[in-house]
Amino acid sequence: MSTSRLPRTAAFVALLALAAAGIGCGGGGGQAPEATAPRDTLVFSAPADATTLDPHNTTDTESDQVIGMVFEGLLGFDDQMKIVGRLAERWNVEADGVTWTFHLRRGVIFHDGTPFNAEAVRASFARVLDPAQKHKRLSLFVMLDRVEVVDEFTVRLITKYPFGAFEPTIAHISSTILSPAAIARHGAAFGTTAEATVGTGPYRVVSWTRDQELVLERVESHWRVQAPTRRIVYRPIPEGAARVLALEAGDVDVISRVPPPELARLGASPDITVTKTVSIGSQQFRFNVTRPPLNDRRVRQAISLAIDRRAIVEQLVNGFATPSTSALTPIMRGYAPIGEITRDLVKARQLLAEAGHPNGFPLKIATTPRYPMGVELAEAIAAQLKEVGIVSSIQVYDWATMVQFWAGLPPEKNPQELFIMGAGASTADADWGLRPIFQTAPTNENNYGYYSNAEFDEVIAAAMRETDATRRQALYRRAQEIVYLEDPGAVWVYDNYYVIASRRGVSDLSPSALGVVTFERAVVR
Amino acid sequence: MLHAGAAVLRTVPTLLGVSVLVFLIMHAIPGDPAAIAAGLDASPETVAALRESLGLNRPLPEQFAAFVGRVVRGDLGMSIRTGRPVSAEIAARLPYTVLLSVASVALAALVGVTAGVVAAVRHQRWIDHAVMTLTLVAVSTPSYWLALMLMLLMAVWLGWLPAIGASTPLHFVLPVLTLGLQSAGEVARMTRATLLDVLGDEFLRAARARGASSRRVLWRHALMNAAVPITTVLGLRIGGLLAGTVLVESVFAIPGLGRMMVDAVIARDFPMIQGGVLVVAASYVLINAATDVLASQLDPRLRA
Repeated sequence: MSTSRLPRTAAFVALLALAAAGIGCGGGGGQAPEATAPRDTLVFSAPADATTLDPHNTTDTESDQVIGMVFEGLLGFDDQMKIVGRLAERWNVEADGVTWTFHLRRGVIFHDGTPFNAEAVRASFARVLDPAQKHKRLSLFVMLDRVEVVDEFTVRLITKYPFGAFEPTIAHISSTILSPAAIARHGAAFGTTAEATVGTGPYRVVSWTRDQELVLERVESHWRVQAPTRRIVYRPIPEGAARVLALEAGDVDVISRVPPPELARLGASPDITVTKTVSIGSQQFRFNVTRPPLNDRRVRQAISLAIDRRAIVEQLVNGFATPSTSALTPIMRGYAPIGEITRDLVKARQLLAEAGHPNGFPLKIATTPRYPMGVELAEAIAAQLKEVGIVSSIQVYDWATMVQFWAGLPPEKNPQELFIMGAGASTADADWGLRPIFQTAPTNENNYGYYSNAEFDEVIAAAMRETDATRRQALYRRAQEIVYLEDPGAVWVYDNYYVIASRRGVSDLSPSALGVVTFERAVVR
Repeated sequence: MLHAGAAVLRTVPTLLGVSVLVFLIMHAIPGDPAAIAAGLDASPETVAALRESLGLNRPLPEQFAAFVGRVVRGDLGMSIRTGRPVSAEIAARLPYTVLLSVASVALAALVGVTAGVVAAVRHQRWIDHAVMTLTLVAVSTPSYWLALMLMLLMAVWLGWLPAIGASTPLHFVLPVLTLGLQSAGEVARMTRATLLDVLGDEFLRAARARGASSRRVLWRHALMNAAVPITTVLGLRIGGLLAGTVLVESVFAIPGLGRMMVDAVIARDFPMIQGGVLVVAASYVLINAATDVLASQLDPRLRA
C-alpha cells in the first residue's frame, strides 16, 4: 500500500504540533533592527473601531480619534486646550453677544476637490441643525439660531442668546466642516464608508474595513501641516492584554487604554514609552440625592470625607490618575482649584451623627466594568465607607443596563443610590461640564442623580450667558464650591490621565486632554 | 437525496423557534438600544426620535412580524450601531469566521485522528501515555490563556509570526492553533476510545482470521467504523466554532462574526443580534444536517 508510511509521518507531525504548543522557552530575541530613516506608516490600536466618521453623529472617543485627523473646524483646540483659529483666520462677536462673524481662510480645498467657503460652513451647520435628520449631536447646538453667508469668505453665526461657551462649542469635533458635495451625494450615509468621509484635514480616509483596519493617507501640500508620516493605520484590538503583546511584538506602534495592571511593567521596559496626559475625564461616584439619607447634604459630605482618594490612586491605578481637586479637571475652561478632599474620619463621623446616623446606614453602590477598574473601585469605596459604619452592597451592571437608569427616569423609578460615573465634557468647558449634569431638571436624562440646588442653578444660568471671561470665571468658581464642597453632587475620586504607550522610535505624538491622540506631526523610526 | 431534502426542511421550525427565543430574550433583558446609540449626553427628544425611527415603540408582536416579513424577503434590516445593512455587516465578517472554523477543524481532524490512531495502536505504550497527557493538557487549557501564551512565544519572543490581525494567511496560524489544538485534544481522545472499542470487536478478529493484514484491518475496518462518531464530533465542532470563535477573534483582533455579536449585544443592536443569531443558527443546523447525511453515507445502518 502506497500510504503505508503515512501513520508514522502524520503522528510525528502531530506530535510536533502538540509539542510546539507546550514549549515554554524564553528566547532573548525580538530585537528589531534599529532603523534611522523615518518609516512611512504608523499603526495605532485602540480597544474598538470607530463607529462612525460622521462628525454630527459621533459620541465615542474612537470615532473622534479619526474624525479629528480628517476634519477641521472653524476653530480648534491646541495641545494645551487653548482655542485657536483653524478654517477661520479671525473671528469676533458683536456687542449684542449673539452675532459671531468668522473670516475664513482662503485656498483650502476638501479631499474631493470641493473648495472650502462660507457656503460649505452653512451647509455643514444646516445639516446638523435640521431636526428631521436626527443627528446625535443636535443637542450641542440648541443655542444656535442660524448661519448666514455674508460673502464667499465671511460667515455669520447667530445664537439665540449670549452663550459663554460658544467658542469651545465651535472648536468641538462635531462643529467640523463637511464637504458640501459629499453631503449632497451621501446624505445620511456620510461618514459610514471611506469614500463618504470628506473633510479638509491633513489626512484623508483611503479604506475602512470594519473592526479590522482603517487607513488614512496624508494630504500632500495641506494648508496647515505637512505630516511626516504618510499612512496612519487604525487596527482595533479589543483585548487589553493582546493589545500590549501586539505592541511588544512590534505589530503596532502606539496603543491607547493600557490596562492599569500592565502600566508598571511597560513603564520599566526600555523599548516602550508610556505617556500620560492630563485629561478632561474624571472618575466619580454620583449621589442620587432623592434617596434618604442621601437627601441630607451632611451625609453626602461625610461620604466624601470618608474616602481615601490617595490610597485609591496609588493602589488601584498605579499612580496613573491624580486625586480630584474640583468638580472639573484643571485643563478645562472655568476650572477653579478648590483643593483635594483629604480623608477625615473624625469629621465624617461627626457629620453623620449630626444627620442622625451615628452608627452609619446601609448603602447601595452601583458600578459597571465598562469603566477601567470600575468594580475594584466600588469595592475599595465600600471598604473605606465601612470604617464610618456605612455598610454597602455593590451591584455590578453591564453598560446597557446601567444606561437604562440614566435615560430620563423619574426619581421614584430609579433605585440607584451611589453610582459610578465617568465624566468628561467634550467641549473642555465648564458649561457643558456642569450645566446639563447638575442643573435642576424634572427627570434624570442628563442630571442622573436629580441634583438640585437653587443657588447653583442661578449661578450656572448666569454663567452660561456671561461672555466676559473674568465674570464668567468667578461664577463658575462659585458653582464648583457649591457642587463639590457645600452641597456635594458626587464623590469626585480622581482625574484620569489619558495614557498611551508607544514603541521606541515613535516620536512627536500629540495626545490631547480630550482622550485622543493625533498623528499629524508623528515620526516613526 | 430525499434524506438531505428532509434535513433542510427540518431546519425551518428550528430557525423560527430560535428567532422567537432571541427576540424575546432581547426585549426581556434591560437596555434601550436608542439610548445607547444616541450617546450619554443626548437629549430625551433625540432618544425618543431615534426610538420612533427604529420602530421600537411599536408592540412586540408587530415588531416580530415586521422582522419575519423582512427576513422572508431576504432583508435583515439596518444595524443601529453602524447604520449599515445587517446583511452587509455579516457578509463582511462571515468569511473570517468560516475560515477560522474550517481551518481549525481541519487541523483538529488531522492532528486529532492521527494522534488517536497512534495511541490506540500503541495502547499502553509510552506514546499512548504521551498522547493522553498532551491531549489532557490541550483540552483543559483555557483558550484565552493559550492564545496569549502562543502570542508571547511566537510573536513577542521568537518574532516568527504576527501577533494580531487578519491581513495575511500567516495571521491565521496562531488563532487556528489556539482553536485547533483544543479540538484536536478532544478528537484524539474520542478516536482512541472508539478505536480501542472497535479493535476488540468480533468482526475484526474475523477479518484477521481471514488473513487481512493488521494495517488493512486498522484502516479499512476499524477506522471506517470509528469514522461515524468522529464525523459527528467534527460536525458539531464546526457548528460550535462558528458561534464560539468570540474569544479568539477578540484576542487576535480578527473582524469575524463572534466579535460583531459581542459588540452588538453590548450596544443592544437588535437587528444585528437577530441577523447574526439567525445566520449562526442556520449554519449550525445545516452543518448538522450535512453531518447526518455524511454519517449515513459512512454507515448504511443509519440510512433507514
